[in-house]
Amino acid sequence: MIRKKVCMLGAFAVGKTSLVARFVDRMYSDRYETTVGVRIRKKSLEVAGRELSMVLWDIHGEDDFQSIKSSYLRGAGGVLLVADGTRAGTLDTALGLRQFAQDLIGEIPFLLLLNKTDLVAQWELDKGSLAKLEEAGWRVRRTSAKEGEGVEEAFVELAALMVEP
Amino acid sequence: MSMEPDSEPGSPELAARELDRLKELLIGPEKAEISELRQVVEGQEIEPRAVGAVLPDAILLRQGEDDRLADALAPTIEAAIQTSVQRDPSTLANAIFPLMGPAIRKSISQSLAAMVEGLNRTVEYSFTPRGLSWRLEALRTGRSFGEIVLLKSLVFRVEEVFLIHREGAILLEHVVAPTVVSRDPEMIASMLGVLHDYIHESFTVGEEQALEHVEFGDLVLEVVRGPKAILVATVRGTAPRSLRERMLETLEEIHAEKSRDLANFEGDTMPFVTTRPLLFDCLEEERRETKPNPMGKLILASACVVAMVLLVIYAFNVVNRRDRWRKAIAALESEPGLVLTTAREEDGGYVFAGLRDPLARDPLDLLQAEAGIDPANVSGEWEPYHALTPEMVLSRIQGLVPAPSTAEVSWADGRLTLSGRARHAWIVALRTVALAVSGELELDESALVDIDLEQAQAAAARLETQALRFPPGEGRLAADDPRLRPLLDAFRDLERAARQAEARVRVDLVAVQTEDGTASVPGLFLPRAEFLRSLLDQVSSGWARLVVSEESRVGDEVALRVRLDPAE
Repeated sequence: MIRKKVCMLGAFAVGKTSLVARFVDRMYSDRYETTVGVRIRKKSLEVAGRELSMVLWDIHGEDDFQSIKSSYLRGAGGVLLVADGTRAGTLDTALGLRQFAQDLIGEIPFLLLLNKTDLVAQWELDKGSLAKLEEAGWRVRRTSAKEGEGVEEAFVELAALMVEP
Repeated sequence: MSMEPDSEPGSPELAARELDRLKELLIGPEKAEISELRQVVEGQEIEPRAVGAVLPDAILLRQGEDDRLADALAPTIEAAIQTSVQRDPSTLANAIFPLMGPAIRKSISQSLAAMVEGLNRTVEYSFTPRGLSWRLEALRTGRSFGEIVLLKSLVFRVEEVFLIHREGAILLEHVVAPTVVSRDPEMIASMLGVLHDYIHESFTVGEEQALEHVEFGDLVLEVVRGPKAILVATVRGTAPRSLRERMLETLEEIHAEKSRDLANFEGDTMPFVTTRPLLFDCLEEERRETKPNPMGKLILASACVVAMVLLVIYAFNVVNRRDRWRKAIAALESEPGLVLTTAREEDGGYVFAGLRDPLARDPLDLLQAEAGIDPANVSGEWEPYHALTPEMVLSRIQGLVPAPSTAEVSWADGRLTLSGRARHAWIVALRTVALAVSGELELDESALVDIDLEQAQAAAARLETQALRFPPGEGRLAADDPRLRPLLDAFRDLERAARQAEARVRVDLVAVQTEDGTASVPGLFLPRAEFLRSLLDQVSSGWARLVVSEESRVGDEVALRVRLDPAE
């Protein structure tokens, strides 16, 4: 068995906990509960014929009051950066967290998830910035924790990258 | 240098030969070696012997550098094992049998020993005051009694051991004590990592300081840290200091054995499966010494005896109650005049209900007499009805028309049979009642004597035998003639008996010849017959019909002939 630690990183209220709940429990709740510290969840799946246990560290959102402790990122095998499509500032936070993680633990597989595609009409993201990221080799995926769109695929893609980079 | 005789000096052939000789003299041995090397290099197949000579050393060298050789060989070895098992499973089974047999036996014996030990302790504490208080605690807390016994009789027990990689707090291996239920060790490992990091970064502590000991009620977490891995034990009770030392030794051993796997860890936990025996050795436990308690054994033995006695009493009661029930049902169902429609046991008593003929036996008396059931424990309603069973018909007839001691009424061959001797009035009453009670009935009176009819017949016979001789030539007798009294008495008796028997009576006064052969006197019969009829009329009740018969006047003497016609 392979066990990998996966860190969910992003600004507050971008939907990290909802994405984990959608992936692990196949459920979604409209109620917002801010995460304090870390929540640990687990999901087992088979990747390339091998059993993978993903230990999901749902780390509290980055804001002025809570800065992410570096120890939470140590030993991570993969990172899911999450941004809220309806708040352009959350993409900047995600980019900052990516740099923070890279400085701390080096290059590891990661995906950038643009969450809340169910509210795509309200999106504020700059398409040019996203195109540049994709040109730079970033894997940018669009998800909706509320409707489940792209969630399973994103986690499975990261799992594959971690097992067979 | 010598000159070849057959070559011209300065010719090219001579120069070439000279050069070869020079080479032979200068690099002769090296040339031979170069030739051999060329054969090896240019050869199409590598010499197996040469490869075999260097292969063991090559494997050892490569294994010491990294895991690529193991990775490369793993698929081939797995395929070889699969092929071997598919071809003949017994080959591999025979090979590992010496290892598997003892391991399985050891596992089974350990499991059995643990089970027996647990059972012994549970039984030992079951009937002691302490055991009873623990039982109350088990009820209060919702835990099983066995679990409470185990917890209370333990000084400490290591329930789980986690081997966790320090980077990322990823679980490498985990073992759990028998009977302990583990809840998702992977998440526990991660949360322990979070806890440690949180404390470390939230409080001002040195880099070398670390979480070592966590107490939560009677649950203790002992944590020892190595350069690459953490060993965590969950302990129930108070662990001795020696446990930490044991854990440290184990962690050091794991670091020594798995240093490369720990350093290069990238999520694959397979290499750490082999640490399980070391982790199992950390599952220590210590129990309180328990002194044998003779009083406890005495109490236990007494309790067993009491339980046995209670069991026997209970079984006897059950059997007895079932027997009473069977007898009650049989008695009620076989009793004439009772139709059982409801029978059940209810609230420790019995309920019986149905139809009851008023002449039938009281069900409560029947149940008490036949099944020994106390009437106080019986309830149920009995609706009245008339039974037409022979027994009940007979009983009803006998109740309404009691038979005299000289007669008997019985049921035989589907007929009501009357026998013996009885008065006519009783016979008539019985016929009427029998018909009314049964509706349709066949009576057999062939063995029954109607006393009244019998008396009438006797009186008639007596009357007919009275011989009255009138004085010759006389048509009358003196009123006080003593021969008249028996005749009149017999006539009275006849009339009375015939009336009782409701038999019609006709008395004919007929002429008969004188027995002594004296000649009859013409004209005397009629006055004589009339004289007698007038006498009989005087005493008659009017039941008998007196007729002077004039057809056969064969003599002048008068005789009486009686005809009785019994009632239909």
